[in-house]
Amino acid sequence: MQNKLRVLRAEKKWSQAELADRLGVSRQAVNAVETGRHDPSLTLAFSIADVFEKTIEDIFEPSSPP
Amino acid sequence: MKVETREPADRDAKYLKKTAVLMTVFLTLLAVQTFALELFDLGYAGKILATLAPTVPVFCMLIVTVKNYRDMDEFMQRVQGESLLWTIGVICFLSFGYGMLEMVLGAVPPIGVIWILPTVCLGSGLMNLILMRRYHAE
Repeated sequence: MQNKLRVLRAEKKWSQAELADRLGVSRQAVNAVETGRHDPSLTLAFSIADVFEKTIEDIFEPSSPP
Repeated sequence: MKVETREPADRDAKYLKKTAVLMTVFLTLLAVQTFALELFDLGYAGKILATLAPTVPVFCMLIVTVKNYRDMDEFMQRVQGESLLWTIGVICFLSFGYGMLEMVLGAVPPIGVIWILPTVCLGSGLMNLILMRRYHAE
């Protein structure tokens, strides 16, 4: 899954560690989601959307069209 | 909606503290066991109790580790789970092969079952490092 996490994080000037603190997850988890090595669960995806005040669809999109 | 996990730094600190306490209890019981077996005539039941006493904190360590795993975020659970799966798989494969050699060749050096726990702990730790590198998550 592709995502705009890095761009959104840069807009807020947050480090991965800062974003991880806000989400209550490890920095490694944030890095893994950002680099596409880990697809977040629904709960985490909602938390990410909540933190950036966007919808899940604004942040995540499938790698290939359904 | 907030992810229901404890802050990673708090979780790690609590886990390390509990591990340190249990390791201290383990080493103390090990020392008591050694002296008791050497110095006293404990009888059969007494020897069994003294020998197994250090396994109690080891079992408590298992409970602490499972609780720590439940408190981890989803990505760290994935890494820990996969590293444990690989470790157990490799140990099973090696012991199976060794067992077959034992059946066919007869005289192979015996390996005590006491080495299973330290091998799983060490193997799991090593696999953790490998997988963290693989996921570029150092």
